Order: sequence, then C-alpha cells, then structure tokens
Amino acid sequence: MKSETMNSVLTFVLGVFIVLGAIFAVRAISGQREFRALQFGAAQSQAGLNQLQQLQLLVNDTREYGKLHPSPDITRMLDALQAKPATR
Amino acid sequence: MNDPEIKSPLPQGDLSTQVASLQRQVFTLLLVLLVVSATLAAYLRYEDYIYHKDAAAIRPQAMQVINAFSTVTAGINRPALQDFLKQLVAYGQKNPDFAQQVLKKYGFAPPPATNAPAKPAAVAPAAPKK
Repeated sequence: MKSETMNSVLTFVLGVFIVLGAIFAVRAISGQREFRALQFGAAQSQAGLNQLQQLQLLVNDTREYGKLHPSPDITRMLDALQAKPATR
Repeated sequence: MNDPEIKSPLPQGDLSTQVASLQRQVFTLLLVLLVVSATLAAYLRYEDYIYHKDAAAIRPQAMQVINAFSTVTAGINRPALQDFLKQLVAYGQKNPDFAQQVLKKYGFAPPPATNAPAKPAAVAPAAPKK
C-alpha cells in the first residue's frame, strides 16, 4: 500500500515535470525565434541604411562632378531626383 | 461450471519475492525518469531564460535601427531612385571619365564596351606540318 502511494506521488511529480518541460520548450522556441528575428531585422536594416548612405554619397559626388564638369545631363538627373526626392 | 483453478508453478514465497522485486524496479525506474525529466525541464528553463535575456538585450538597439530604416525608407521614391541610377550608369557609359571618377568608386562601373575593336587575329600562319 505504501509502495503504491509512493509510486502515485512519483508519477504525479513526473507528470508535473513533463508539463513544465513542454511549457519551457515552447517558451524557449519562441524566445529563440524572437531573438533571431530581431538579429535578422537589425542586420537587414543596417545594410539598407549603409546602402542609402552610399547612395547619398554618390549623389553628392555626382553633384560635385557636375560643378567641375558642367553638363546638362547631370543637371537634369539631379533636378529630377530633387523634384521627386529619393532620400530625405 | 467450475472456475479453473490457477495454479502457480512457483510457491507462494517466491511469488511475493518477485512482486516485491518488481515493485522496487518500478520505483527505481520512476525515480530515474523523474530525475531525467527534471534535468530536461531545468535545461529548457535555462534555454528559455537565456534566449529571452538575449532578445531583451538586443531589442532596444535592434528596434532603433529597424525604426530608423523604416523612417528613412518611408520617404524614398524608389522608382525615381532607380531611374536616377539607370541614367547615371548610362551617362557613365557615354562619359568614361565620370565612370572612372565617380561610378567606379561605388561599384557601378559600366561593363566594358562591346563595340571595342576586335582583337586582331594572329597574323602568323600556322607552321606547316611536316
């Protein structure tokens, strides 16, 4: 009788641990996904910002080149870009 | 009808010894299983804690970068930008000086002109076979 009670208690505790393990597994997976999503999003955004910075430098260099070598083509391109602003 | 009498081949003493032995085994196995599941649960709790801690640590910076990118891209006119780049590359093809000074610096070097004079064919005739 005593043995049966002990086994019942152990089985109950085992069940509790299994349920807790399942809950923690789900939480760990969601935490891992959130972490990776943040990491990926930040990396992508940083790469995009770097590209935009490069574009801004390209526009500036083009403007400088246009000052040194005046050309209606360059003026037209820059004017078109400023009329519809590409970057703020 | 008479119920068939089940006769154990073992004497009563042996049977109770075996039952006791099985009970001990079940108890031991339950205990082992309990330890294993507790260890697994503890490990998963640790993983959960670490991932949430890491996510919380990078969240402010990540959100700052993501928001900055969203804000900047919201004001971008992509077609105009594409047009501008296409026109720049076309202009660079017509003006190699611009391509060398500006476009090359940003990796927009135009492809080599395809209408370049073809490499002259070897003028020396092949040596006659002997």
